[in-house]
Amino acid sequence: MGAMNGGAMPTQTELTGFLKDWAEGDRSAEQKIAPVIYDEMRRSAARLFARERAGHTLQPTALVHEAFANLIAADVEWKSRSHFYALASRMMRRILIDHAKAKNAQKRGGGMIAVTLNEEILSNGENGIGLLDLADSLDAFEAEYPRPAQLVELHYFGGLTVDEICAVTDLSPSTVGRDLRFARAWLKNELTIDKG
Amino acid sequence: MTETSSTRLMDLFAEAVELDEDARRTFIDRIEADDPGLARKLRALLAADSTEGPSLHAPIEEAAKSLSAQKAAEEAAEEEDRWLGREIGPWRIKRRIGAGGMGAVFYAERSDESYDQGAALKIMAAQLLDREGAARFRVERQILANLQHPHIARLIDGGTTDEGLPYLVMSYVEGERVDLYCDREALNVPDRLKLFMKICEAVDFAHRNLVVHRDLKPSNILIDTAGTPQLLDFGIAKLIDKEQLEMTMVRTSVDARVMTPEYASPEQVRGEQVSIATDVYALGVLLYRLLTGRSPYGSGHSSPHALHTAILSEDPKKPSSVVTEATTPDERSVMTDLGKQRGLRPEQLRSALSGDLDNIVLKCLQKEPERRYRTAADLADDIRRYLNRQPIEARGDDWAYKARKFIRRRAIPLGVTAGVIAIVAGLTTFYMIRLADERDQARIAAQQARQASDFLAGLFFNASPDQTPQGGVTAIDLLEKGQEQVDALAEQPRLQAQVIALIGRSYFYLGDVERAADLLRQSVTLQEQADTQDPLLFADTLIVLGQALSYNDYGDDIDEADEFLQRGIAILDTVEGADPLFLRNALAARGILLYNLDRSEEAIDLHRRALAITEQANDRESVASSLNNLALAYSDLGRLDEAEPYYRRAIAMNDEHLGELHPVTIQSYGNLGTSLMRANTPKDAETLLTEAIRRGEEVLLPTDAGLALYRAELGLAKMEKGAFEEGADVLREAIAISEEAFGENHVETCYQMLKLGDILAAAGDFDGAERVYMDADRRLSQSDAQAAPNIARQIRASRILAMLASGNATGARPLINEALEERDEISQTRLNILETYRAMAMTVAGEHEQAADLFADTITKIGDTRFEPPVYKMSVYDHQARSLLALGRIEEARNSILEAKGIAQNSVGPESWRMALLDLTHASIMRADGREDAAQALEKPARQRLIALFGNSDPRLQLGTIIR
Repeated sequence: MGAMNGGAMPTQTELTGFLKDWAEGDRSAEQKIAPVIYDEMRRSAARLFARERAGHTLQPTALVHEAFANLIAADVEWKSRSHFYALASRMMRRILIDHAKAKNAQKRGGGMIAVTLNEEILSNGENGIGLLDLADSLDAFEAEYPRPAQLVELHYFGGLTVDEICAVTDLSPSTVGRDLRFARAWLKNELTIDKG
Repeated sequence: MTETSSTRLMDLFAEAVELDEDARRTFIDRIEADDPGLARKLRALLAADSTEGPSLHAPIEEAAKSLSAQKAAEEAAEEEDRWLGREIGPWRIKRRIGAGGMGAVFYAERSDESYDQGAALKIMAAQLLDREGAARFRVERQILANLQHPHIARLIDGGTTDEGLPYLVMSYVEGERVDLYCDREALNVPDRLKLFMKICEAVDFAHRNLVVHRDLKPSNILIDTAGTPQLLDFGIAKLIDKEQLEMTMVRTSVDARVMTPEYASPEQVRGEQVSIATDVYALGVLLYRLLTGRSPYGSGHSSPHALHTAILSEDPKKPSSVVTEATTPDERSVMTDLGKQRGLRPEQLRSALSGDLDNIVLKCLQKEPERRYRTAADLADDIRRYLNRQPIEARGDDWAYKARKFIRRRAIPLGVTAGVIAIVAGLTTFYMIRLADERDQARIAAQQARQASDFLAGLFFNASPDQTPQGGVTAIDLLEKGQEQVDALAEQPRLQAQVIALIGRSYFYLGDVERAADLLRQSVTLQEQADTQDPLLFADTLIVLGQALSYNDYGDDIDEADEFLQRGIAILDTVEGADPLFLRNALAARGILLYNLDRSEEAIDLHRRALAITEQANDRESVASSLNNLALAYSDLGRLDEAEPYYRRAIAMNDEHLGELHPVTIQSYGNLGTSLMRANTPKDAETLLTEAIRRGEEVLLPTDAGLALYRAELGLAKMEKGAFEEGADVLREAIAISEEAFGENHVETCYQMLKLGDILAAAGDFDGAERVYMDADRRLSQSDAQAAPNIARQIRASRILAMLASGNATGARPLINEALEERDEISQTRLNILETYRAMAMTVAGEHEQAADLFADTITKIGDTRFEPPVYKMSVYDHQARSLLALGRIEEARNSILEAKGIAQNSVGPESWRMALLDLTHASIMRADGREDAAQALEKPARQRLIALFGNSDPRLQLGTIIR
């Protein structure tokens, strides 16, 4: 396996190899893939925006799937694929939180590029909650309940279905369902308390 | 919390959610005894679990969307940098000064130095489609170049780049955004108003030259170094509309990069006609912001769609009320700043704004364009009166106006948007959508007037002899002058009538229907009084008058409108040499009017005639629109067999000539799909609806009522084929979209919940269905929409049927009685239907004797069941059959079940799972008749199929327990 040199973009074959290593337990491989996924998903975002029309909801799933299609050989075995999705979900969480934080900073600083989308959408809306609030609550939840928190990440940030989550985590559908329901209740409770 | 107590809480939660309410309470009470803290946590979690609460998906999706938008903008900016240093025409590009949805803006200088000032060069993002588009671009550009006013940045040059991208060059304004300028200079309220008046005057000047800005907002209004406002991008929004179709605004407004939501008017959000009033609205938003520092709709919108909904349906708060309503210390300090910037303390600012200024601002922000100031000059005048302490014109709300009834019906949702679209599609020749048309029409009108009489020519063209065409003589000026001097024609009444008619007609095309109606009415009176008449002119006057009156959509004008249209048509029928398309448009106008008045039967005749004329004239667009109008009228009457072929033809023509994504094309798919569902033929409906939704999601707003309806109908189509989960998912998604787009308690949302309930009930999840119905009912009670009681009734009907299907007569009976309490208000048909409900409840309760009697009394009297749930009629006969069977009246029971199956056969089809349910009853009847073999042959496959679909314990499969 050729090591990356000087930050050059690893090839698809290399990435697929890293992914396989990682799936088989090589923790260091994760460091090699994660930044690539992070960059790829951020890049895809612009393409997706051009393709999707406003009025559609842009699903994070689309970004995750797109990153997979662009980075990894299609015939990679299921186990590696699962690991990819797990990692991509985590990257997604980070990307979106980074983005929301940057936006917030920008808003406070007053400088803003000419995006005419309503910037208020990232702060607390009338009917919704802000991403940063959600992120804080999820961090708190994760400290106490690491497994359900990971499922939240897969489901909400990665857009994985319950079946897909079962495949990724080796948990039974009933456990996944139960954990997610608990997590939802916990987070909603936390978020409503914060708001009130 | 320790690891173990965390795990414990999870386990307890998992256990508790499985319990019903009572068991849950006992369960928690027990925990409370030895760990009150844990019990409290558990309670909070269970409460959060059972309430809707905030969506966890929404913030994530919004962030993803925002990220994408930002990345796209960054990429676009990079892309735009490649222009630097290039020469375009005689211009050399120096630096980028801005980017927006429409394209990039650069600072440029003349490369030949013939013009020593720098200029702003704007390169459009889109290519002009064809030669016609390029020609139009040139014409429009010329008009804008002639727009010369000290407060309007001038269009200097324009053309297309080598790549074929259109560009415009405007005078470069060194200045500051008006809102930032006002705050930085800490201008007081009167000074802000004076500045705003100057802006109004510039806007009015453009309007009088028939140019509408369409995109007024602070970034387009700069204050230059001399303190003078400079308006940028006048008419540009129009110029870059690449399609130039009547639906253009639909497209631009769904594209978030072009849209400027905060300043968009309701008509722009809806994709409707843009006019002078659109700019008046944007001026209102600007004034609101200059006075209060806020948007009229606040800032707490979770998405652009929420803002759209607010623009369409929320009444803005009074400016005076928002400046002191700050609650948090943070907000209060902002408000203090705000007051300071306006030279006042917050309380003083409030009293400065309350009353007249509130009224002035709110008048600009009226949802209906015709209720705003008629012109920007009128707005400026009112502000002048305010500053001079004179009484203003904008006073409170016009209650009489509000009270007038909107005639479009909501009972069958199909009609609503379809009617609006049909008008747009059918009458493009009359209802001039685009300003260019308005201008051309006004010119033609002016030309005709000149030809009609030397007097007029003299009037129009000698009025201001020293003014050159660029000097500002405008069509409206001419019309106003013409109107002033028309009295001088009293000696020649015929000519006078003709001139008044021409002026009236011009106003109609300019969108001022009230003024048009007044003038056309005068002309009609004059022509009636004259000795001789020009029949074509008379017919024309009558028809335009009729249209002007029906265009208003409100109140008493409608009957009168019909009268005028009829008279006009009658004349055209007898006169030789009239343009047949003229007659066609008159017929279509009256047909749509009648359809809206619930007189579709008569509308059909008119549309038929209109169709025949268009076919002969081979005018494709009006053929398609006539086909659509005709199909609408037929399906309005429930005559789908006749409607379908027209729909199909319209669809084919629209696909070909209007294009796949044209709103009218989408509408024609949705119309037919919906009609097919109403006729209980879900198979074809699914394909059409899926198509309508797919296309609609690309170009229509989520607030599109048609789109919401198609989703509900698609869910039902899936239910009918047994794909319950899929159907329920379609509806759940639809509800989520509607909650966002319309609001949680909106009738549209409730209607979709009703349909979700129907699907759950069909799937055998009666508890789930009941919960959804109840929730919908509760939400409806918060709505004061006209259609709410109607939908509440439909919910009740669905609840009754679901309870009966689940064998719960005790639950159904109070609901039936509740419905019967309205007996004074409902028709005999509805009453008969309610009686059959009563009879079905008897069957379910095992009171077969009474049931059979009541069925015998009522069943033949059921008439029109269009508003009942689709399963209603077969369900009635099924229940009757069961009671008769229980009474041993085998022969009659057989007839009833065959009746039920006949209905099923013709509607849901022989393959439907509903047929299998009827088979169960049928088999029991056979068995009672001693035909065990036949009964088994029928029952076994049916039961197997139903078990596969609904499981073993579905109450609908426990026939034996019902019939004892």
